[in-house]
Amino acid sequence: MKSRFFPMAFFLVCAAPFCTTAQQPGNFFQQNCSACHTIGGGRRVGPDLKDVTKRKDRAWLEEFMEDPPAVLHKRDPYALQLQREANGIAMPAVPGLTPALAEALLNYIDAQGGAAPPPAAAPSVAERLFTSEDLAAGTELFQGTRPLSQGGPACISCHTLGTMTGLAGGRLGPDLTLVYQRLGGRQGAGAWLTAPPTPVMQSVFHQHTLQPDEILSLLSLFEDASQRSHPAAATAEIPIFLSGGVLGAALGLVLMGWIWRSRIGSVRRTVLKAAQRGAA
Amino acid sequence: MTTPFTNSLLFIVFPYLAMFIFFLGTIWRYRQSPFTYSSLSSQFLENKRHFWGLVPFHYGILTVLTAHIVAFLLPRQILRWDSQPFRLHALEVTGLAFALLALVGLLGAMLRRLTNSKVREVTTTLDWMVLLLLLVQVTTGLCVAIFHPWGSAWFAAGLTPYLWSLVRFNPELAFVAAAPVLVKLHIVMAYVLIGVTPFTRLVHILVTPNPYLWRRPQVVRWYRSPREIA
Amino acid sequence: MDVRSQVSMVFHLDKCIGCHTCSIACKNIWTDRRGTEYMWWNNVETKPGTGFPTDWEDQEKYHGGWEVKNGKLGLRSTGKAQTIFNIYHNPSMPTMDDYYEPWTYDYQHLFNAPEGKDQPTARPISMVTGELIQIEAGPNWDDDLGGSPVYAESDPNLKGLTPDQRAQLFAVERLVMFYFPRICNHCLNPACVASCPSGALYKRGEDGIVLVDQERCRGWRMCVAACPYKKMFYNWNTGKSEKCILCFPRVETGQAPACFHSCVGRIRYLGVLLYDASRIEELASRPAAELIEAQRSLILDPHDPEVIAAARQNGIHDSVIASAQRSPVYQFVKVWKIALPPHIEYRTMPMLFYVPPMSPVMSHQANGTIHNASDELFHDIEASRVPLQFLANIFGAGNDAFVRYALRKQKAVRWHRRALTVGDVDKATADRMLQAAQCSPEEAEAIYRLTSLCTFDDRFVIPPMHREEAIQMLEDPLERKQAAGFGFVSGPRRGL
Repeated sequence: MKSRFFPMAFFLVCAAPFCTTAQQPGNFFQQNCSACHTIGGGRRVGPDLKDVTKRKDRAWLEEFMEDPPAVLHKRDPYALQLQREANGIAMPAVPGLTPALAEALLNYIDAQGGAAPPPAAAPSVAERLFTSEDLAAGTELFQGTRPLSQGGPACISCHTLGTMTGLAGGRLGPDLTLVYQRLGGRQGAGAWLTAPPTPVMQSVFHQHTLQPDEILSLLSLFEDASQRSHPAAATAEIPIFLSGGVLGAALGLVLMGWIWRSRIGSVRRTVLKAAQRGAA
Repeated sequence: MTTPFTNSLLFIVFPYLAMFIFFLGTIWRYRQSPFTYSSLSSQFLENKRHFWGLVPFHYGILTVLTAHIVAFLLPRQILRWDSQPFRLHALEVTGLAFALLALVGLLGAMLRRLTNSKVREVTTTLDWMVLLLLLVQVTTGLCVAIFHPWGSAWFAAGLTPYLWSLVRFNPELAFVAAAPVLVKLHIVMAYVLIGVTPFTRLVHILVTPNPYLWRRPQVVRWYRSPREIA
Repeated sequence: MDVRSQVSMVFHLDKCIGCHTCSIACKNIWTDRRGTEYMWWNNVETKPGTGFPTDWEDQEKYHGGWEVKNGKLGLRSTGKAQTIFNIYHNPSMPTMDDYYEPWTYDYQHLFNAPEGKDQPTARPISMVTGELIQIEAGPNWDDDLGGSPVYAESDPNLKGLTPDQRAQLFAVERLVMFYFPRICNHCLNPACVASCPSGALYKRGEDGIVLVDQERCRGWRMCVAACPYKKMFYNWNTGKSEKCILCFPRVETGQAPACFHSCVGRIRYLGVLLYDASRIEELASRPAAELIEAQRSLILDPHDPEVIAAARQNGIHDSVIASAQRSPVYQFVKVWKIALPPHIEYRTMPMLFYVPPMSPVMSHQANGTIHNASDELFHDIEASRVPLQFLANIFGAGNDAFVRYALRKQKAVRWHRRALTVGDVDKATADRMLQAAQCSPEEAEAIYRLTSLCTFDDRFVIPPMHREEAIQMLEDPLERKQAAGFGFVSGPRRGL
């Protein structure tokens, strides 16, 4: 009985991620698209989507939405143009965006575009000037010395800034030195951080959203970094890091040799040598 | 390695398959041929290079493995430790040092098996396969640590939720699917190692002698109970 | 009182001629497999000499046995917690180099060599790698004092000998030696069992034979380091430890172990001793000088009604108690006190005892009568060619009183018998000797009988093992009918 049950459960488990629950296009748009796009609210990182179906045919749009990197990979001229307009940022693949949902989204965009401009979906990033306190708080948030209020991991885990010295930040994600310009300044980057659209950022932060005051502080840091420095080479910290590791390993080897210094080598040879020395 | 299909295959099907084989295989082997559970030590045949190979390797690999398990079980605590850049960097450098010890030891052990004629005599093709798998795993792990810092933080933040999602039978792939190739390779190799464990000498990890710490020093076995007969 | 029975042994070194028949008998039965070629569960060493593996008695080098630290008895090679840290590389484990690399000869070459000017030779090839090797050591490399400037001079038991005594041992014309056959001592406080992280090593409750459970052994190699007698061997082929099993399949069927059975000099005795298991730890922790007495006090008198009652209560069969009462080992060890444990200072409480060897007699014959070379009765023991101190280092934890006692008694028995049968010894002198050696004429007769006239049945009093009372025998004989097949209680299972 057991042996028959197990493969069954196994199959179900494997199949689970392929089934996505039906979703309202409006909600989906808010959660997944609004960080970069508006409908009639002006350009953010990505273009304003109002009247998008009039600018380009639906078949192309649906293909692009389902897998933007694939279309870019084909060097589609219109897609490349979009990327240029977005400061070189490519649209990431959106998890869970099925063909049916893509069609529903386009319908939703059409419907919204006809109506009056929707209430500002844009997050409320305060309009005031950045202060030195903002910069200090941003640095602390980035490095993790001040925890993010919703429990998200610190930026330093995966990202680095050109302003950091020594063993800088992480290199799993992109270097954020110039992110301020890349995401379109205060409004664009702010919207981006409110609901990060990339799969990785989404998976880590969707339950630990960044708060408006935290975003403001981080924006202040990013603005400062983009003005003061340039991205360091991706391999800049490796020599320091590696030499630290090598030093530690060498220390470990020395320690091991010392701890087990009285281990047996060859008793027989030792005895022979001692006896021959004595005889000589 | 990037299509949804291959991702599901490598990061959902593969881990379950590996665990399935691991549990069934080890139990089957333990019941069927307990005699084959041994460390298969070759220290008796050669002990000088054995020390400089096996000791750094075991201490290195076990420390690094423990660190992975801790990041899996206590991600909050790891992230709290990492909240000071100095502590984060210290942890990472320490981890790198142990990984390097493992690599040095592994290379030493492989060289020893290759060049010592007596040790070569007790080395099978399967041993070489295990050594090569371990070499790939240690090397990719080192590369990940070097080229994609800081793993202690992003493992706890990104991979721990993925691994727990596997445990809860509700896999969430977003983080691993977007991870760099090196990281993916390291994860897949880990599953391969788990899967081959029951059929290799790696089973000796499963019989680490913990009860020794609390058992009485002397062991006596009766083939008839003294009280029963009386 | 927790009475248990132990199959124990006495080797009478005065009778050993060093023929190695025992070693060969054992090798042919048990250790002719791959991975065991280098093992000699039974070996015969020449003393003085460094033995097998080289210098095994030097625990400064090998860290074997027990030591008392802060009043607590602990293994010298490794503590419990240390075991986990030493498991990857055992720092106290000898290697094949300390034993020898087993070899055979390329005999085929004698037949297959192409025609040439020279006679073909059979060159030595390693039994590990099959390659040609230079033989550097062997199981009896220093046999009969071979290479004594190196090997005999390095004997750890020479410690504490005066320069005169050393000279006395090694002066060419007075060169002296004796043989020291060794098997597993099946100790009461075995270091190997206590060191085994897997719990694979165990002592059989019924007869005290120490065995390795091959299915539980994981090859952690702690026992090899812990056994101070170096009678644990690592099988490099299977990755498991092996040791002398006292031929338990033979003993269980009433036959003496192979090495006992084949002994040409009839030096080996086997019999049951009853002992008090509850006092082992306490007595093994005593100061080194008291250890021999401590071990003797562990051994119980099988005629004492109290002991018999306690033994019965512990499930020891009456036939085993009867066997203990006839045990030759009990006579040698406890009654006559002329058999002594080897290196009791290792604190494992070995259950193999040795009657120390007499050195060649120092006397002369004149007018048909034997005369001592001195007026002192036991002068040749005091000025023995094998210095007393040397024997005491092996059999008395450095204390020569026990060895002196045993040798005096042996000499007294010889002179007693000489006076009776040959008559060239003064009867009064012989009697005086017996008295001085604390030996009654009856006891002297008994020692003489068991030493010189002993039959097979006198030497080997093998207790019935009562396997019919084993737990599996007490179960319903029909319980596993139609369920279990050949070889496994768990039953045959169709493969996957």
